[in-house]
Amino acid sequence: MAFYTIHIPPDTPPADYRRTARARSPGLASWRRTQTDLLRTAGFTGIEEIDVTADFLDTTGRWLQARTRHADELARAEGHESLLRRLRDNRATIRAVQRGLLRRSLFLALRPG
Amino acid sequence: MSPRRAATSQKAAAARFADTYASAATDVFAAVQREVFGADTFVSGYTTVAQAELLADRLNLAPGDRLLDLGAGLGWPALHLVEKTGCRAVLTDVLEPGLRGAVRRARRQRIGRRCAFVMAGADHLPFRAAAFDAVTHTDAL
Repeated sequence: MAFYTIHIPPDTPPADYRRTARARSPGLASWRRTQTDLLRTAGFTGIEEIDVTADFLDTTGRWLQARTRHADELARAEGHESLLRRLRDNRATIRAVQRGLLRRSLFLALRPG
Repeated sequence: MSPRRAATSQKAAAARFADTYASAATDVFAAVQREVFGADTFVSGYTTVAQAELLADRLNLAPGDRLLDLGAGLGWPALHLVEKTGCRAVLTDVLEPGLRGAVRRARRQRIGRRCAFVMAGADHLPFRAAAFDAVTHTDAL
């Protein structure tokens, strides 16, 4: 099994963890405290995490730049509100990653048998 | 997850992705995602081409392997994995508009015969145990 997920780093202080989870930061896919424990509990072995947060930050920055550059056309195509929400989400994601509150990882795991 | 909570969650996802799937069909979106990824991924997510290749590499996918992709949406990166590795794939999602887009892309990429598309949530999959060699999902769970 292999999956990319955006999650709150497990070593985040409890107060920040709760705040980030409550805020439902854009892109946050998993509120589980640790994916590794979850996978282990489900019987998976050989669990490996590859941190791709730097790429995540870079890609989000590219979305923000490209959306800003094409703002007029995008607003016509998808609506002004939708574009504003996406731009707001991109900025919020970048802030959260820079503060260490969001991480994107590739998890790999094997299911015996 | 209770059926009621699952239905609420599915409704929220449908609302969240409705404008994503609508805008994905526009020329300006194609131009924007090409600027972001340097390729035609047709998604508004974060999985780059290099990360899709990493998935293929780490799963060691080969021709004939059976891949299950959960929350497939418009088919990125599952269709890319099918095209690059020769594997077969079942793409699942709870939202029909995304899967319809994935079907169109599979046809366009001439890999439709190696793909199947199933509307199903990850919590109720209609497959027998051990039916697949690999399972993937990207930012869905």
